[in-house]
Amino acid sequence: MAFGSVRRKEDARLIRGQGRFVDDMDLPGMLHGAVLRSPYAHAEILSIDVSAALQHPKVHAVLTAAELGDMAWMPTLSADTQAVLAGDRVLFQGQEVAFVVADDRYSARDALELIEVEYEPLPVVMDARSALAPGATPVRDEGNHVFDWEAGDRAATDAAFARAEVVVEQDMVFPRSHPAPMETCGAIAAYDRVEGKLTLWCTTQAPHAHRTMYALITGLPEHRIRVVSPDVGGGFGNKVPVYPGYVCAMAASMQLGLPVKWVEDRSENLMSTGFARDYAMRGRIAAARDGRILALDVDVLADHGAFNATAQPTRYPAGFFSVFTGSYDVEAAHCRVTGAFTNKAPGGVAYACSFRIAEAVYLVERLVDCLARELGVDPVALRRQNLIRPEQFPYASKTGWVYDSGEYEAALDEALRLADYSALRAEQAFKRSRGELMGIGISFFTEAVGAGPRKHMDMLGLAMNDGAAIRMSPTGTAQVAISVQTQGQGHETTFAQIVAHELGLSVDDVDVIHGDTDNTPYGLGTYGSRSTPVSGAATAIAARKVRDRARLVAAAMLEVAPEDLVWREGRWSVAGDPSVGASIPEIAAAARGTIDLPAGVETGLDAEAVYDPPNLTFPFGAYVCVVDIDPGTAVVKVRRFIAVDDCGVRINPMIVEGQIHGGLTDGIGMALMETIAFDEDGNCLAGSLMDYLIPTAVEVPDWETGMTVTPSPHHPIGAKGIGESATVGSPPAIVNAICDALEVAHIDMPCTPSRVWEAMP
Amino acid sequence: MVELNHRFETGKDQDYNWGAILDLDRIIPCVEGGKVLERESDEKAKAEIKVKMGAMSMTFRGTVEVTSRDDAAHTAVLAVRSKDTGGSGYANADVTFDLSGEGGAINTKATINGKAASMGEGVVQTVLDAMIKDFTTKLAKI
Repeated sequence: MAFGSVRRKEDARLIRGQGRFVDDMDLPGMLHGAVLRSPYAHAEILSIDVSAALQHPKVHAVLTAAELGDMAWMPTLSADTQAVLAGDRVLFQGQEVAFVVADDRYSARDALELIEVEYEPLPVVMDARSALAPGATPVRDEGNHVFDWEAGDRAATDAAFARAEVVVEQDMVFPRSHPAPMETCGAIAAYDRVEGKLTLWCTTQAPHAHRTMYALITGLPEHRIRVVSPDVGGGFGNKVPVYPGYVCAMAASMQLGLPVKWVEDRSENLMSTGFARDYAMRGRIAAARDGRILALDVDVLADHGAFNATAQPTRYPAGFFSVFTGSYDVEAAHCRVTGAFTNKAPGGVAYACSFRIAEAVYLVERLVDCLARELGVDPVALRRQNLIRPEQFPYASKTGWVYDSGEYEAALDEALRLADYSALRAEQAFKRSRGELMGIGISFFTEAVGAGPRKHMDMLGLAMNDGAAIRMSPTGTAQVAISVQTQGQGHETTFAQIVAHELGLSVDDVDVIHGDTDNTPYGLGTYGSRSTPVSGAATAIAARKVRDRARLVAAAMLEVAPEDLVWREGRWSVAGDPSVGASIPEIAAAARGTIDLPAGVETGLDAEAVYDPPNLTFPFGAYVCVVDIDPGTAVVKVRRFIAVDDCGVRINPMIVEGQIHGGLTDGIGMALMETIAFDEDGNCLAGSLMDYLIPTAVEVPDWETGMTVTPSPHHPIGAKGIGESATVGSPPAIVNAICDALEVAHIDMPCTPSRVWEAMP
Repeated sequence: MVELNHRFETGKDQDYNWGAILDLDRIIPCVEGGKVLERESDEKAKAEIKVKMGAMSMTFRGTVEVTSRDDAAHTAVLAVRSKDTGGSGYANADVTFDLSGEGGAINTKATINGKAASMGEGVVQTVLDAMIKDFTTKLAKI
């Protein structure tokens, strides 16, 4: 049994400062690039004069849209076309206008100041509602409307609302936020003119998908492109898209025949790369007077920025938002999402959230609390009454999802037990009597992760399937190459544990190869909590192929029939005599040795698998948040946070806990402080970490975590994925607690002191 | 847009003050880091100003122009139109002087674009406020 809280293999180098990130790398002859960005949110470019920059003694090249030619435009992950460098018009503040290549980073930055760009400012469109209003300034030539998308049954939902005794409506905004990884984005492009091969070391969460896109963008044959993700310092969705800086580095290297490094600074990361959320939602919930929830209905305005660069499966322009019925058994539901172009940075990434499920869970969990307030019932009791029951699984939701497994009430009970819920309510009553502001918030979430089945899901036409390849050495150690890409999640440990678990090996004897398209099988990468559900399944299946072949080889070694062998305690042994058997290392030696192998059995034990998930997995959890609000300053303090997560089988509980801690911290950020704000001229007001606030150890409580385990019935090892559960589940718990403390129906995130002050009774 | 209001006192009479604020060669250097590059006319000058915002230092270059004046009421508007020489920002302002007694009121309506603006509203406001306060102390000695 190799599952358990073993120490992370990658930490030996990371905690010693021996990690190797893109910006740590230095290649012989390497040049440095810098991007000139638009100061305007919307303007015509009248002229660009790069002559003075070219005179700079250390400048090698200055790229503009004109020089890039065919590479001036690139496809986005949502099949829109995005400018690599703006030609005649800039559409958001921070948009890429020119790229300078110089001997060093400082000279490149200096030379940016020598470029003269003449702009003619245009009116700006800064939110989805005004973008879609009649007579709005067109952000794009084709207009500001991106898409309309619906899910569920309109007629059945209308009918349920018509006969409902109680209907509650609430407008809510999930503000634009930024993943803000510790490491900003960057790349080193090195084009070898002799071999005709382009190598790109890049901060990407999806090396193979990027390579395919680079083949389309550069026109180079895909097998002549190698994408390497070295250590990546956090992604949270920010490192899924292709950014113009990467493409400029490639174009410059192809033009100059030298390696070119480009690494953005913090402001560039915050202002121009993939944001998340920016959903304005109007939700309605219909119920019977006794508390039974009948139906949910929601209209969403989605702000996509200047280009539709959202990272999500093709057929899901609003991601998996349609899981907004959450954990409740409702009769009908309907949602309608309208996307709009605005003069804001493009993106729309799954910021630690599987494709818009953070928005969906926030919506339903806030609506249920609004309903509880309207009915005058306890929010726990209302949830308990409406949760999907264990015998209903697999549960077909009213918006087309099939939830794989769940024991919802057990998770809720465990959270209430850990929180001592009734004692908390008693404490709150006492504090209220003294005029203190204490709030208790509940959320119960269901995630949908592990995209996805090829019959339903693709990105740019690529099936969302992932692979694993295991190589067994004659001395019994293993390497597993995977198509997903860690950004700190501990893949080098978790995937080694899966192989070790399946093959009876020590975790130390299994190493993980990842992040290099030349050495790993094809797959779509790590985001949407999909690594363990997809590539983890491929790894288990590949290991089982190794084990099955090992059985045939062991039978030859032991001169017994394969069917007489049983897999027991990590080795194949004779059914009636456990002392006669062989371990995988012994079998691996034989398989690479000279014994006679049975007919049809190839030398060695190597095996590969590509996993096409039959369904998504549906992790869930019950969260309880306790806040205190200072009546004098309106500062919200999260005093306690109890998180019970059910992510199926836990491979490494310590890593799972770490993911939960990180996600809960993200949740505090979104609920209390994070927002990318703009002024009326389109200036981004979140250009630094002084203005874009992210949570630190000061703001977070001592997390109290618990668990239940409901395995996924269709995943080979029953694991569901955990990466994003806590980010998805925690914001509504915190906002519910704040609303509970203030005894108000709703307050929009981020619940900053000024907003809380205004909402105070 | 940022709007700020200040007062200044010179201890000198109104006619003197009126002449001083309309003399671009005298008033532009009263802004810390400001200098006249070229006089285009009595009412218009090319100018530049170096501004430090925290760790950032930016040079804005552009024009200062007296766009309206009312000699009877002693009110005048000076329009500043400038661009960060690094191409990463713009700063425009309409500065209205309304003289009375031995000094006057200064109303500043400023629009900042680009890198400076993205440092956050609070920073721009604080820096601008400090600049104008410093300007009023220099004006006092004009």
